[in-house]
Amino acid sequence: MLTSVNRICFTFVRCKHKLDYSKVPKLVDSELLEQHVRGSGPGGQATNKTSNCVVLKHLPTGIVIKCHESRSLDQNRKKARSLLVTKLDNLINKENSVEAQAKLLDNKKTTEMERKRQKRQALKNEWKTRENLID
Amino acid sequence: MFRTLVRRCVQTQCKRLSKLSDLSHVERRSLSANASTTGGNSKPETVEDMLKLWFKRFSDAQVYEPLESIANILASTLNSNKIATVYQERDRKLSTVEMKNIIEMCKKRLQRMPIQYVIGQWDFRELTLKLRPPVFIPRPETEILVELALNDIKSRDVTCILEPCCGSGAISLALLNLLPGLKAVACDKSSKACELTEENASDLKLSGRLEVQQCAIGDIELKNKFDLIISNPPYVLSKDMMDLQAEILLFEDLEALDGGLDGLDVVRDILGVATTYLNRSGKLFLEVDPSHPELIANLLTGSPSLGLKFERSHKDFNGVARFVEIIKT
Ligand SMILES: C[S@@+](CC[C@H](N)C(=O)[O-])C[C@H]1O[C@@H](n2cnc3c(N)ncnc32)[C@H](O)[C@@H]1O
Repeated sequence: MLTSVNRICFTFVRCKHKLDYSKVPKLVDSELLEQHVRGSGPGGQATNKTSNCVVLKHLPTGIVIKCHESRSLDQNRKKARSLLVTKLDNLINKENSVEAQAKLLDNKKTTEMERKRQKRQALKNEWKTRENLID
Repeated sequence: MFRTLVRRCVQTQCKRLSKLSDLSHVERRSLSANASTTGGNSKPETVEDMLKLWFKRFSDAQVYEPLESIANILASTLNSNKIATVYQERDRKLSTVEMKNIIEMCKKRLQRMPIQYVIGQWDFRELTLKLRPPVFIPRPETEILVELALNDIKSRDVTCILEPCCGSGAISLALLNLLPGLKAVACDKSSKACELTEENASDLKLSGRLEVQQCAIGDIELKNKFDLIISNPPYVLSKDMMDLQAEILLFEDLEALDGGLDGLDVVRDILGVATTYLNRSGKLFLEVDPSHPELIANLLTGSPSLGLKFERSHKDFNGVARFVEIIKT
């Protein structure tokens, strides 16, 4: 888990300078409805419950985000907000959203890597033929 | 005596509680369907086998949150604090040692030990805290109390805070962790709570800025005054104590919850401490029972000699007024 988080951060940092964040929408508190699914009952000290599901609704678009990934309420609230920003960014900015830009960059990178791999392979084959390793 | 009585109530309580679980019925049904199609006779080997097997066993035994329980046990075995890891690694084969540990933990859960004690830790805001019985397990509502204090601290100059009733240390440590210039004094009357607070502080490398005192808050003696006092004191009304969840009654220190007849026994002591030790314009933030904000407001209006003014109450995430903000005049 930890390593995958690290990996994400790493790619993020590497391509950050090429991504344009200027269009990313900002959340307005009055446009959000936040709910916490914690069942009925008195809550507080009288309840011990492990799931901390946060449901975040963006009123203007009706987009609903559900997050219960973490054991901490605060982390789920923050994560729900960041997921909502990504969704809104994709909706509003389409191919200019940060996610779309990153994907494009990623695709470019894989094509580039594939091209290099093929080139290396060709050179290798050439060398092998030259050294008479292949009949 | 009380606990034997409690144990007898467990069965009925659990029936009621398991209904409260917010796990979707579809998820529940698909899991049990799978459990029966895989036969159940073959020896469990993978993460998924154990998930299915113990989901069924916990459900049959009417353990509260059966799926969450086994998922958290498995996540902790996989050294993760996220349940998603369990699903990502569902095909992983478990070693004999891992199996033994899982079964040991599951047995504890069958006895209604809270899952946070079973795995020995839980998350509170950005932190992972060590937890063990009978020290009170931090509740998510209290993360909101911390948020209220954070917003206040950011708006003025706060260098030193006091936390009566610190339990595992959750509140003080969450604030110290976010505010590198802050110092805190924490107090609890339970020695086990104080030890755990110190342990958590040192694990999180925050002990340099935290002083822990073991005493009842009414007896505390301090050298200096504070800019902010924050506390989640025992506030459950005595009449509500028998309605607590079985796993709370069986495992948590009941003195961490019992606030006396009107639930305000310890709150009254804290108000006295705030009068003596809060700097002028300093603030007191408390988590309380929904019946308390009004009582506290009246109490303060009726006792001007305390020099405390009721500023406002704040709601929790279910819209219930559960936090009070008080200012020293
Ligand atoms: C509800 S727990 C809160 C623990 C922690 N602050 C949290 O939010 O997780 C209340 C704590 O107050 C302690 N306590 C109860 N009565 C007290 C008193 N008179 N003086 C000091 N601490 C007390 C209990 O030992 C328990 O640890």
